[in-house]
Amino acid sequence: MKIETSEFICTIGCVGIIPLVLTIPTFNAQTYGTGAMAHTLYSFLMNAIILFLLFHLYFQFSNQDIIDISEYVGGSFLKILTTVLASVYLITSAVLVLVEFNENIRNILFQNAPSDYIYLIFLVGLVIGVFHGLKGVFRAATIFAPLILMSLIFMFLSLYQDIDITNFTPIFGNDMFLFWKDALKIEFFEGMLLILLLGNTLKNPKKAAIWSYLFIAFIILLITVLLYGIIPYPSITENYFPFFELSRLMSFGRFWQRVESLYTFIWLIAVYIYISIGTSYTVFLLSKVCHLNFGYRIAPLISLLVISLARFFVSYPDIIHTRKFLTNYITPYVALGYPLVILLLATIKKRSQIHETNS
Amino acid sequence: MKDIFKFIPHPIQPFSLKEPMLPLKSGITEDDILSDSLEKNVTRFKEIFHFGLTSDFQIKEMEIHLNQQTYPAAILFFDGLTDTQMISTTLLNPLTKENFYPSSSVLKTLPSQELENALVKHILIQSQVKVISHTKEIITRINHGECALIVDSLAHAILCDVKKIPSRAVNKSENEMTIIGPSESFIEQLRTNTALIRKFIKDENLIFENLTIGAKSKTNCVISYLTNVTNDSLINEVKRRISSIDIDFIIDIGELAQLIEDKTFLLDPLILSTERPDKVASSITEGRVAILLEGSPNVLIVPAIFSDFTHSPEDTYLRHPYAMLLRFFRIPAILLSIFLPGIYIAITTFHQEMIPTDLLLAIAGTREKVPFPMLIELLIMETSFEIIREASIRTPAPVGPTLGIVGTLILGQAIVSASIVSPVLVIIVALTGISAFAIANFSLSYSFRIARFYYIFLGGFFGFFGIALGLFIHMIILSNVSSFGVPYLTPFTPFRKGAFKDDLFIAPLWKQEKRPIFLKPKEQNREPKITRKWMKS
Repeated sequence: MKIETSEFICTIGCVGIIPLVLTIPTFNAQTYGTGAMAHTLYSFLMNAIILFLLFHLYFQFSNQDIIDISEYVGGSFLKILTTVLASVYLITSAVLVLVEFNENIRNILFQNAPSDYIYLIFLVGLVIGVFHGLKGVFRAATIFAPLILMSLIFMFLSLYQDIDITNFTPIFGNDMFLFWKDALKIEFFEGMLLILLLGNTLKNPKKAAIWSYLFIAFIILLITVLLYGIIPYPSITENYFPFFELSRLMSFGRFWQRVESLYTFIWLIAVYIYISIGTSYTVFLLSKVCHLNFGYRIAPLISLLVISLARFFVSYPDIIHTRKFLTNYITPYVALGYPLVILLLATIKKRSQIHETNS
Repeated sequence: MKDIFKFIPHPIQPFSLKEPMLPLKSGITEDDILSDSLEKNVTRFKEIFHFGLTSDFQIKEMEIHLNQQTYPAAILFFDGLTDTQMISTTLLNPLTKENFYPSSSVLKTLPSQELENALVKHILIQSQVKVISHTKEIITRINHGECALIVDSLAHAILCDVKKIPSRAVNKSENEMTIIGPSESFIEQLRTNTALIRKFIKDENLIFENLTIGAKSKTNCVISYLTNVTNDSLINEVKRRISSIDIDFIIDIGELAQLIEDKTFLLDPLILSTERPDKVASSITEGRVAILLEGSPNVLIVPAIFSDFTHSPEDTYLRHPYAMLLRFFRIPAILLSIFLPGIYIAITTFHQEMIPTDLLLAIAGTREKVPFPMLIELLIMETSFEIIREASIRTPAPVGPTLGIVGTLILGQAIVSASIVSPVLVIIVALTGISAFAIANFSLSYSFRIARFYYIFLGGFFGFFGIALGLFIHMIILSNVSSFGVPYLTPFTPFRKGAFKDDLFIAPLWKQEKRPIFLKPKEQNREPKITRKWMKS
C-alpha cells in the first residue's frame, strides 16, 4: 500500500514542529545571538539547495530506498551498515525527544510524579502506534496536522502585535563567521529525509518533497518570527522550552487566556507521531533486512527498548548536551553526508554501467 | 400413632440435565428423490416433520378425480404459514371435483408424465407451481410456506406458492425520524422490503440477488445493487462473506452484520444499518450494496465510512443552507458527546489556569459541599444518566413521561440539593447527553458513549496528557480500519478531493455531480455538469 502525498506532507508537518517546540531555537539563539532569525532564513536557503541536490540524485533511483541503493553500491555489507546507522539514528532521535518531553511534561504537569510514571503513559501510546505500523501513523497524522497548523496560526494571530523587529538586529548576531559556517545544519528539515527511507512506498516522492519543504518552512517561519521577535536575545538563551513560554503569553480578551495546556496537548500528539514514526520505521527496517514475516510482533520489544534507553538520561543538562551533540556533529554526517556519499557512488556506478552497456 | 404427627420429608430427587438423545439423522442428501408410492412418501414426511409432535404441520389426504379415475394424493403444509383459503380455492376444490384431460393413452389410468401435465397445466390454476423430486428441496420449500402435493404413482411433488406469512403493515419510521421526506420504514417481510426499494429505483439494472444463510434456518437473504454502477469486486466480496457463513440459525440482520463486519472489537460500527427505504435507495444509487434479511426490519449498507454515520437522509431533502446548518451543528455535537466530560475533568483537575478566575471561583463554590472527588462525581452522574436512558427505552409508553419526570427533574434536583454532585456537572452531563441525541446513527452513539468513559478516566488521571494519548490511540486505530476495503476515515485520511464539500458539509444538489470516489463505481458521474438545464435555455 502506497503512502499518499497528503499523508506524507501532514506527517512531516507534525514531525517538523518538534525541533521548534524543544531546544533548537534556544541553541540557535545561544550560537547566533540576535542573528538567529536571519540564520533561520539562511538555513532555509541552504537546506533547500542541499535537499535539492540530495533528492535530485535520489530520484534517479526512486523505486528503491536508501537501503536498496546501499546494497546496489556495496552489497550486503553496506546494506547492513546503512540499516544499522538508520535504525540507531532513528531510535536515538526518538529517545532524545522522549526524554526531553518527559522532563518538560513533568515540570509543567506532574511535578511530584516519578519520571517512570510518564514514561509508562508514553509507552502505551508508542506500543499501539508502532503496532499499527507506518501506514496507521501516517494516516493519523493527516487528521492531526490541520489541528496543529490551525493552532500555530491562531498563536501567530494572537501574538503578532507583540513582535519587536529590533530584536532581529544586528542581523548577523554575535559572530559573522559562525553565521555563515553552519550551512549543513538540517535540524528543521530532518523529517524530510524520511523520503530516502520510504522509497517506492511514496505515491509521488517529488511532489511530497516540494510540498513538505514548503509546509515546514511556513510553520518554522511563523513560529521563529514570534519566538525571536517577542522573546529578546538574552532571555531566550535561558529558556529551554521557549515555545511553552510563548503560548503562555497568548490572550484573546478576558476569556481566552492561559491556554498553554491546549498547546501542550497539541505538542504531545506531535511527539506521539514523532516517536511512533521513528520506532515504526526501525521495526520496518529490521523486518525487511531480517526477512521477518510478522514484523509487528517485535513492535512492543523495540518500543520497550526506546523507553529503556530513555531512562538512562537522568539529568536535564545531560539531555541538552546530547541533543546539542547530535544536532551539531551527528545529524550533518549521518543523516545528510552519508546518504549523499551513497547516492553519489550509486550514480557513478549506474552511469559507468550504462557507459559499459553502450560501448 | 406418634408417627402420624411426625413430619417426614419426601426425598427430593435433584433434577439435572441428562445427556441429550441425539436425533436420528434423516440421512437426506441433495440427490435423495421421492418414491412413486404415496404411502412411503407420506410416512417419510411424517417422520421428517415430526407429525403428531408438532401441531402446525398438516397432512390432508384426498382423492383426485380425473377422467373418471381416482388417484390417491396428499397435501402437506404448515398451518399459519400458508393461506388456507387459497389452498381450498386453488388446490382442494379443483383437485377433488371431476376433471377431464384429453389423453393420448389407451389406458384408463394416465401414465405418470401425462398425470403430471394434467395436474400442473390443466387443473391447478396457481401461477407459481413447481415440480420437484428432490426431498431436500421439498422440505425447504414447505418450511418457507409452500404447499406440497404428492400423488400416488408420481415420483415428484408439485409445490404451490400459497404463502401467507404474518406481518405488519408498512409503518412510519420510529428510530430515524425526519421532518420532511418519506416516512415509511421497512417491515419484517422480505418481498415487501424489496418492493419498497424498487419503488424508489425503477431501473432494470437494480438487482435483488438471493442467498441463503443458516444450515437449519435457511433464512433468505437478498443483496441489492445497481449492476451498471456498483463495483464488481465489492459485490463479489459481499457475496463471498455471506455465502461462507457456516451457522445453524440466523434470526436478525444484526447477527449477520456481526458475522460479516471487518473488526469485531472496534468501538465504531463498520456497517450502516437503517430502517429507511429512501436511505437504502440513495446508497444503492451511489454504488453501495444493500443487504436484506427475511424477518428483519433493518437493512445493512456496505461499505460504510465514518461520515456516513453522521449524515441524515433529511440533509438532501432540505434546502442547501438549512442542510449546511444541520451538518455544521452536528460537528460540535459529536465532539461534545465524546470529549466534554473528559475535558471538563481534565481542566478542573489539572489545568485550572485555563478557566477564567470568576468562573473558576463559581465552580469551586458549587463544589464546596460535594464530598467526592471530581472523577467519582462525574462517574455517578454519567452512570445515572446511562441507566435512565436505558430504562426509558424499556419502559412501556404510558409510563415513559413519568420516568422522564422522575429521572431528570426529581433525581436531578435532589442529587444537587443533597450535595452529591455540583450543579455545573449536571449541566455538563446534560449537554453531553443532548449532544449524543443529535448524532444521526444510534450505533455510532453507542460507540461514543463507551469512548466517553475512556476519555473521562484518561482526563481524570492524566489531564490533557491522557486525552492526547486517548485521541492518538483512537485515531491511529480508526485510521487503520477499513469497511469492505474502503478506509474508514476516508475522505479525510487518506485525503480525497471533495472531502469538505460532500462529507463534512454538503454541496448543493445540482453540484453533487460525482458518486463517492472511494467506492470506485462503474459510472463516476451521477448527474451531468449542468443539471439545471433550464438555466441555460
